[in-house]
Amino acid sequence: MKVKIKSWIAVASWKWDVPEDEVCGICRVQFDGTCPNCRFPGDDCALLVGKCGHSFHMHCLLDWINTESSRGLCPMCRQKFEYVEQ
Amino acid sequence: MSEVDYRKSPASSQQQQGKKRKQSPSASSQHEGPKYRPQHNQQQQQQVQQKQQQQQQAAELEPLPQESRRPQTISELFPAVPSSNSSRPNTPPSSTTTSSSTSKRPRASIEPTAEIYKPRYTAALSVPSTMLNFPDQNKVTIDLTDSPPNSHAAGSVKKMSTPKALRVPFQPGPHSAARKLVVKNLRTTAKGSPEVYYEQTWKSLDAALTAIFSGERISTSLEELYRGTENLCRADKSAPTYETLKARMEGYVGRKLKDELNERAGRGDDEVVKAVEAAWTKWCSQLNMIRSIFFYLDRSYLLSAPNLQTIWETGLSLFRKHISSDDRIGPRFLRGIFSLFEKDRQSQGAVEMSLLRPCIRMLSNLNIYTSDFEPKFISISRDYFSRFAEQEAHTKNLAGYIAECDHQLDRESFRCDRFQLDLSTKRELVSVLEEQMVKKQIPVLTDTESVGALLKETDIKSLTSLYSLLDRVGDAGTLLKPAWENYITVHGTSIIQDQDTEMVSHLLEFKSSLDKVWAGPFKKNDDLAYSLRESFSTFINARNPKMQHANNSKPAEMIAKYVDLLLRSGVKALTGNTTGGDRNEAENTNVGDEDAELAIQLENVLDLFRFIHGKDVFEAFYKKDLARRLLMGRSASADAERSMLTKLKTECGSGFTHNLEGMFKDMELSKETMNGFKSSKAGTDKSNGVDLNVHILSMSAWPTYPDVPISLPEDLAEYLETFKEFYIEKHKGKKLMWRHALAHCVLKANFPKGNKELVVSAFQAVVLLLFNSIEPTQSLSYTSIMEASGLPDREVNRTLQSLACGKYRVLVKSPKGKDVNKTDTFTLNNSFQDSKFRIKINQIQLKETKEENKETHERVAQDRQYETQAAIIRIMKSRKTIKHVELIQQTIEQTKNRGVLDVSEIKQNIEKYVSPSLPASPPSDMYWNLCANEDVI
Ligand SMILES: [Zn+2]
Ligand SMILES: [Zn+2]
Ligand SMILES: [Zn+2]
Repeated sequence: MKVKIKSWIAVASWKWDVPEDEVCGICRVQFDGTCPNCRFPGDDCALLVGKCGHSFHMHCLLDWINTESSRGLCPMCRQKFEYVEQ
Repeated sequence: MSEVDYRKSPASSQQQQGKKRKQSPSASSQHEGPKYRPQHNQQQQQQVQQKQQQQQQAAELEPLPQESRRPQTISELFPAVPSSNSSRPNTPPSSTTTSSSTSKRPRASIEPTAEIYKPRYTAALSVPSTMLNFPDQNKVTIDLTDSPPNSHAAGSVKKMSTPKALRVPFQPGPHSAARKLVVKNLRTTAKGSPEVYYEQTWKSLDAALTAIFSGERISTSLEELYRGTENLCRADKSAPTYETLKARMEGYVGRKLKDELNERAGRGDDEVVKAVEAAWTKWCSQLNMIRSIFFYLDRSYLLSAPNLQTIWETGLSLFRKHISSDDRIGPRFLRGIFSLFEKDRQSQGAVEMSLLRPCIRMLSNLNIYTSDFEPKFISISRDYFSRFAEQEAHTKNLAGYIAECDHQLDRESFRCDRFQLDLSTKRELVSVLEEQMVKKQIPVLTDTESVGALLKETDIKSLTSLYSLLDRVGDAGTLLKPAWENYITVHGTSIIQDQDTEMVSHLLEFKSSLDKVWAGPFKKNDDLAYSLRESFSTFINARNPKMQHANNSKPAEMIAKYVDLLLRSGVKALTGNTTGGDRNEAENTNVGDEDAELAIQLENVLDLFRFIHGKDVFEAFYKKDLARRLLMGRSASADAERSMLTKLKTECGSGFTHNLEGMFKDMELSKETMNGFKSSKAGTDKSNGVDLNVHILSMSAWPTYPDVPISLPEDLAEYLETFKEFYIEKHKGKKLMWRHALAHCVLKANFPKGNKELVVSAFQAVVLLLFNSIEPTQSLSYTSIMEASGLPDREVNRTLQSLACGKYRVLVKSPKGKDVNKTDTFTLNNSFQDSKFRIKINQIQLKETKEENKETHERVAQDRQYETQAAIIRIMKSRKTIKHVELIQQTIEQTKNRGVLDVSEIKQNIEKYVSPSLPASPPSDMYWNLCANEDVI
């Protein structure tokens, strides 16, 4: 007797692809948590990965970029902040 | 009063009368009020009128035996006689003229009455017309009773006119002459002083009284007696006449009537009642006759004399004095009546109406109903019902006693009507009953256990009565509240403590029966509605000593599972077996009715859900169940799922349902992603004929699942890897982890006895696929299966158990047995057969394990700690300094909806995050300051 797979219903979960212990450079919260203004992690509180290698909550970074003193620089390395297209 | 001069020619007066009569020939049959009123000045007239009115009113109020009311007209007194028999009544001579003779009164020309006066004591008190036998019309000649119209004498008399009823139609012809003759005759023979006449008159009246008193016939005609009285009165002899009459009446009532009564009344109280009643009836009849005879006295004299009683009143006074209020008779009579009432009460109405009714009427006619009878009767009734209530309340069960109260209230009210008691008595008796049977028995009527029993039986009838009874004497809601609350709490707690799978359906039934009682018997009482909610909420959230973790969480869990059952199986779940079992796929047999029914059922469960304080527990289990339904495709109706979500959102707010909505959103996104993948080159090339579907979950929205290692078949693993690459390419910055424990699949298996499709979990599939590598007759050992599948021991065991020991045995275990051991070996079941083509063996995946359950509870408990801590910090951040008690209260308030910790646990959490500002003060006054340690916060 042969057993053959006809259909397979798989389940997977996604996570932000960042090292386990890395935290947001602005709010210091882990990336599977949210920025201070959000309650629900995941797509609701997305992540921005900078070309410089620093990652932030999108909400945190936008708040920073909107301040005059930021001058569009990464708050960690003071390079111009450009994020990786997703 | 001056004497009346009748000297004027009787003929002329006769003619005038005749003319008058001609105008109204039928006057004798006309009922017209007599105008006997002597002429008075205005004031006097008013007085008289007043007294007459009073009397009339009194007469209307007194329900005299049958027609015993006071006659209002002369024609009523002496009813009209048929014309063949109609005749001029005998008349007395006029008082002053010599023409009138007392010795030779017109009586001679009148035939004596043929009938003998027979007292009819037991019959109507009216004077029967047969008693008034007027002489034959032809023999009557003259009407001397008419006052001479132009009489010069006392104006008072002059204006008095003869009652029409007494007028006899004028008869022209020979009779006129005959009249004259008679008058002449009278004149010639009339001799003697008026005093003699009055003496004579009184003698006949006295004889009549004697006859009445002894029940014999009255020898003189009543009309004659009436006239005699009139003449006495006109001769200003009213006062002595009245005095003498009164004395005679008193003599009779005080002696003869009383003696008769005493003779009749034996020892028994009801014999007295009968005797008094008989005496009363007799006396009424006699009194009526007396009054008829002395009617003129009544009307002309007594009515206008302010200090004198009318004949009727005199008679009543005498009866009162000598009989009803007699020291010996009176009390015995009342006692007799009371004992008859008691007998009636005890025998449910065996006392005859005819016995008591006249007595009650007599009491009110004698004007002693309100003074003598009623107060004593009420007080005796009070005693009776007090004893009765005590006895009934302690011998009957509550339902029986309630019925008895209703019954007694009905009976007593009926009894009052039956014996024609006053309305005031009826009202008082009802309040006596209310007081004795209800108010004083409130402890019995509201006894928690008895009321609880009625509620348990949903005895709608008794409960309805109970509520209205209590409502008569107080606030039924307040009175019933303790028993109501006790029942809800005790019965509810027993449902909760049973902890069986039927808990929710029992709760639903319980709630529905409470609602029914509240809306029906309890008349939607606001207080009881409030205490229903309070008590329901109390027991459903009570800390359960049987549960170690996450106290008071069981009902919430069971409610979530009940909803799951409904959403998985629809209303079918309610009619059929409600436990797990194998169910057919969600067949699309749902018609509109079932959807509506499902909506109603969901609404009912939601009603229970509203009582739950620990909504976090519900959410945790609901989420787990929803996840299973979505991932295993087990929802009966997508519409029902959506509508439930909307309801929960309305109930608990969007924060509560955010994650649940996220789950639905993930399902949608996954579908889109799969469409993309399947239309991609990689998606089609590497499928190997496998139809792949992947559910991609945002972890935070879904329940957490343990990561179980597994070795998938190479082809499949490769295909999944292809998908992973596809996904990551599309979603940069994300990574994907497989949750194989949640995966399931459809396998094609060709058993020797037929091809089948097996719906199995990923774990089951992996194990079954291992058998592809060996010959059909070969076996695999437990350990080799464990090695090859890469599954942990526990999962291997469960999986093998489900394949070899469950309902569908696709593997054969050796040796046989219920449990799977590590030394067992397994072969394919080559003789497997089943009527169905598609066989679901993945129920095991749907079933929650004990460990899972415990884990869920623990996680909820843990989350509660976090929520509490967060609440404490929120409060402290806004208040800086707060009283200890207040902090605890506010923490409870803020965590109420999700789930409250024990106060002791709240205290522990407080101590973790804040420090006391005044360490020495007593706890209740202790203040807390926000910790300086920012790191903790
Ligand atoms: Zn951040
Ligand atoms: Zn955010
Ligand atoms: Zn940087």
